[in-house]
Amino acid sequence: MANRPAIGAANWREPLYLGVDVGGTFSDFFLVERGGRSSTFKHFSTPDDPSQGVLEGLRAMGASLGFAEHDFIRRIARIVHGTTIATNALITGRTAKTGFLTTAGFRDIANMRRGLRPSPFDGKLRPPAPLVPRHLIAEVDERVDCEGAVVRELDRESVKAAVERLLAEGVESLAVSLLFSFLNPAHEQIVAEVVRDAAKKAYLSTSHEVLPQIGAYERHCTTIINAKVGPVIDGYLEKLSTALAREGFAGELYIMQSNGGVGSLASIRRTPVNTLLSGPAAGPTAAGVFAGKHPGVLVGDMGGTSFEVSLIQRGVVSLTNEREVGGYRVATPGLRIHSIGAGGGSIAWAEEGKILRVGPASAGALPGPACYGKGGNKATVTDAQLVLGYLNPGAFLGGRFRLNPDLAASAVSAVGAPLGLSVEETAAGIYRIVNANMAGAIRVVTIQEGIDPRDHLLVMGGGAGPIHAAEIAAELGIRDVLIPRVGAVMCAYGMLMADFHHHYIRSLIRPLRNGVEAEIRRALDEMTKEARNRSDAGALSLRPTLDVRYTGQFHEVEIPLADLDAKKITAAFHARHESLYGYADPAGEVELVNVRLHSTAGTKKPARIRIGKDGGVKKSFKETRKVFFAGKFAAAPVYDGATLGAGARLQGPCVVEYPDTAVVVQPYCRAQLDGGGNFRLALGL
Amino acid sequence: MKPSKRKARIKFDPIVASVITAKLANITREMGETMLRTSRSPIFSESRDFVTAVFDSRNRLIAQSTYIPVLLGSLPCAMDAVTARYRDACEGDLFLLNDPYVGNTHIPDLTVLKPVFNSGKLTFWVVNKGHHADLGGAGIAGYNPDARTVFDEGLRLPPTRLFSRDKRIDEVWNLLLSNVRNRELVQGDLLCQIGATRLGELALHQLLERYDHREVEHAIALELEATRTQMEKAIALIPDGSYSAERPLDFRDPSLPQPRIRLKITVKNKHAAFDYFGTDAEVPGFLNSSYANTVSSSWQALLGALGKDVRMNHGSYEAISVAAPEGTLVNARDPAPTTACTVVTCAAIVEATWLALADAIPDRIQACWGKWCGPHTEGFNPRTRRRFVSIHHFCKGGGGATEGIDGWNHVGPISSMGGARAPDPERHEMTCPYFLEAYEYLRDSGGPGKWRGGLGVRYRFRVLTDNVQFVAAGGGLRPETATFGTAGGCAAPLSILMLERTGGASERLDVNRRYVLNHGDVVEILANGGGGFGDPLARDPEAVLKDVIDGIVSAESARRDYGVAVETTSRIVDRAETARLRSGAKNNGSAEKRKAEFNQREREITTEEENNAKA
Repeated sequence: MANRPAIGAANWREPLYLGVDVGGTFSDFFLVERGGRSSTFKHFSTPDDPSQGVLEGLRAMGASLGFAEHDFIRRIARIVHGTTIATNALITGRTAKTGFLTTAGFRDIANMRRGLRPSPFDGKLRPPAPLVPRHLIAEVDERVDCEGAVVRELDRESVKAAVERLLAEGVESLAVSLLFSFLNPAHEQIVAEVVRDAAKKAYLSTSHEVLPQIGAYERHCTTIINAKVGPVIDGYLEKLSTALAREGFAGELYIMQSNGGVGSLASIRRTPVNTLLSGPAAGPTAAGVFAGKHPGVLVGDMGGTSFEVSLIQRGVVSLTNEREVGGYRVATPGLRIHSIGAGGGSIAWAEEGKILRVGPASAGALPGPACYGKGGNKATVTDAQLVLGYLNPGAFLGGRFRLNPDLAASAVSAVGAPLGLSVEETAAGIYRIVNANMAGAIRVVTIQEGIDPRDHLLVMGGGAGPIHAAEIAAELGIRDVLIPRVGAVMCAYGMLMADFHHHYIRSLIRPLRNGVEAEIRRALDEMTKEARNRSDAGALSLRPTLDVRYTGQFHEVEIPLADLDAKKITAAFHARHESLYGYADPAGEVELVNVRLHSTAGTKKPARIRIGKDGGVKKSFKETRKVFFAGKFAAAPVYDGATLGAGARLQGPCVVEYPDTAVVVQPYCRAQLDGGGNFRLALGL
Repeated sequence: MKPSKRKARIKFDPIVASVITAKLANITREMGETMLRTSRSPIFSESRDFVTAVFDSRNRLIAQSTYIPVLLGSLPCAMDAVTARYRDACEGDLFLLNDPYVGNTHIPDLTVLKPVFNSGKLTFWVVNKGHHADLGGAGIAGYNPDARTVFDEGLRLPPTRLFSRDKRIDEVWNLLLSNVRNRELVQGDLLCQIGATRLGELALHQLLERYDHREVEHAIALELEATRTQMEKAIALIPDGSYSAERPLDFRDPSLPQPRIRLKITVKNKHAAFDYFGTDAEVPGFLNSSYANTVSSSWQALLGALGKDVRMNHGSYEAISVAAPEGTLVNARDPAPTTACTVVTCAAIVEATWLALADAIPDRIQACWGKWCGPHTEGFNPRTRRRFVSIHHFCKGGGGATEGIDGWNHVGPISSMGGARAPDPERHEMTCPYFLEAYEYLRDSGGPGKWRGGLGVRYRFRVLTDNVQFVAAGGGLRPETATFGTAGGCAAPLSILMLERTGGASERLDVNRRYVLNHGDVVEILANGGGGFGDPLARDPEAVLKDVIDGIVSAESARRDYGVAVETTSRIVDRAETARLRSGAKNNGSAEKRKAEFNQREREITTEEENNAKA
């Protein structure tokens, strides 16, 4: 399923770099060589053993590019891999049998969900399965108080007994998280020693290493999840690297992390919890490459079932510690990627026969949209795209898969009829609603954070993204849109452009007054040392930040540490609070909570993709067809995107077709291709 | 389809309606996030005891985010009160209200209301309400069990203008803050409420710039109509007819009987009428409910059984009506105190509603949730050199079981329906002068049933300073107010509150009574779980075994209450013995009889402990 014609193995100049993004249905491959020539490839995923699909895909891709058998993999210098294996294991419950050791008297905290039930009026909502079954939780007799002092000594013998009991239960992995260990890890360290003595092979995860920060529930859960997915990731990486080696691969293998950076195998094995967003986290990295120095960038990725959105401000992707995966809390920093159920497969329906709604339910890959002809009869966003003329039924997936417009029309018509809407009106409505839903998702990461989206560049990827990009931008008043040439495999591309990212944290809870600077300095020095000792790090770039709040608040605001000066830090905090929440309290006492250090080390990157100069857009003209623009159908030109060159300019309305997507250029847009083949849409709002 | 402000002819379409209503809902969430993230008292930020909403210029509730369900139906009364008093609201104004006799729930809930104008015309109101740590008076986190009038509960703010044309009226500000003990907390939370309304106003302005006001009005009309249909459909699940029940409240005065709420729900023409005729007269103490709270609790009770997807706006609000006789527990007269009504009286209303409907829609009703009896405490923390106010949301009860589902563990109180968040033990110890000794599930605390009630907790803490004010405003300590099971399920055991004085004897504490704690005192609370659903003898023996392995049901209870014999070492069910136990139990009487026996045994255990404590 190569999307580009073979150009002959000899033409590929080494070193070759490969990004592999394994998703639920397809594994995306993106290959680039030193000179910037690139190729994309899609292969079916093999969920039972994803490493198999990766290997098969590699062989097939090599063959399609004209490489001799085994020659392709041998010549690859670096593979960066995004995997959903940890996420899937957690969601399906196929994780390692894990035991949890915690402070006596408090064993249920990780399962207590902080007492919340997500939907107050759903009396039939089933409680989630416990993160750790209660009989696999062992209590350790000890206690550290809120100032880090030991108030009850740890009894090593009782720890031994607890560990033995858990091992007798057959656990293969152990998590240790004690109260206030972020202030004093001594007890956790002793427990870890006992575990290592008793069970050399067991996977071990301790909270002072995984997440040394305040908040017992969040710290416990993160440490436990790390232990649960640890052996799974270990086993998978072992299998994959062995298989690759067998095929002659002698390059580097990196894994994409939730934080948008890559990690070496050694790093990932220590904190596998950081791979829970492994795939989507590469999207913002890719967007960052194309967006260059733009001060504010929004990144959207619209696939088959979900739409992911994130924000890059002044080159920094925002991170969050407040994620949930499969209903379980993960508090290590990950990219703030907001996801909603809006994609090509999202199903349209009429609520109470009065209001048209789209999603969040999806037709998925099977039965899929009605127009796939695989038995689906529900109208989806893809069906609406087809009715509106944005999709060419014969050009879908490079012409390998024909869409059925009649099935699309009848499904769409069935939804609209009770609302008194025609097929076209309904399709236009579905298109607008899903756009509004996606714009709503962007609001969550912008307006809800006190950020005006109108100052931002929207980078839109994913198979369906380029069809919707302009209208989503218009809905939010955004005038500047970029659609990368690699949009449909944006994440696989982004993986190759990612650096090493790691995060370190120290709790330092005290008033932010003169004199605190020395302590901040000490914490930073300590973390810097830790960062430098990390195996995968080369030359480091370090970014310190502080978590600050008004004394008495329960949530912190993270602010960059520019000058190590209590007064300046305080002023920066007031300003940030005002912009986020509509007020500041200049007379209020300010308190430091955490010192953080974000470290980055560069990786070798392939050259940027370059395309040749355009020889006139007329050469790329394919046909004229009826397309829905500005409220009605009219004849509009359709172009072949693969043959457009750098500098090509197009005025909407028109459609530009690629093998894996279509760019819909609305009447109020001017489009121009840059030297990398990326579309830049300027909206005349 | 370039968006532009449509000037002339408007073609209303369902799509724009969807976009607009989604935005309105989003605005209430944005306000909620601000309150959650920036407040100072743990009651907002940890427990989430607040609600945010948008009203239109006709005082109709348009969109709402309910973090604590008990507040969800209370804002319309507040809106009516403020607009009745102020007909001259201007752009840049902001109003306060906490008077339970002028449209509010109870004194600690401060409502902040801000009118939003479009081209000089009043178009919307953004509103939020949250429970403050202290609004004056002698309450503990607002709760004063000794109150005999509303004047003992705090400063009373009828509708009051705090901002006039964007300028703060300092007289009001200073007056308010001069009447509170915990000035820093109250000021911080008030600032965050005001900040939230500012963000709400900004977002509404953006909406109004974008869409023609006629489109917005049309969208609102559609949304309310669709919601009304939603709610009517939900109500139609109940067969037409009248359903009655009554529930008592824990009242501490032994010379008086436990006061009762009596409720008759009449369902007819897709409308549910709540009639509280026959409810006992108001009592001397804070258990009395304001009318706003009674309306809100009734609505919440019905939604809790039927309203999974129902939106909470004027459309669904219209489908119920509430008749509450004046001068009774459910519609107290000025100046009766009301502070405990959002917890205790709300719970009794929800319980009465579910009990009344238990036979009509048995598979939709949850058994009674564990009763709230958690401490509210206040004092000075010498370690931080600050005052602290805390509602100990650690000792949550369990949820009631329902057909097909065991109750949720550690989820109450029922007034929050799972919306009140438990504090983090580490943050709690850093702000309050307490050392926690235990916070874990309580074994055998869920009511036995085919589906077991959720687990309550054992919560134990040592006090590290003197002169801490303590009240557990709640209930469920008396056999009359115990939880109940449904469809043959059993009640959960009663909750127990104990105080161990330094070097002294243990003392059993009551709810709704003030205590003073000193250095070294230890409080232990055994919070009950939820009631069970269905005959415990019908519970899958493997499920019972799993509970025994996990240590949440004892082997004795498995045998006695579920008729399941578990071999604890080999972890298997003794099939033959189980069959013998179960047939023996069945021969011994009906499920109802066994349930009565279980409940009676629980009472006897309590009485026995009571006697021991006295001795």
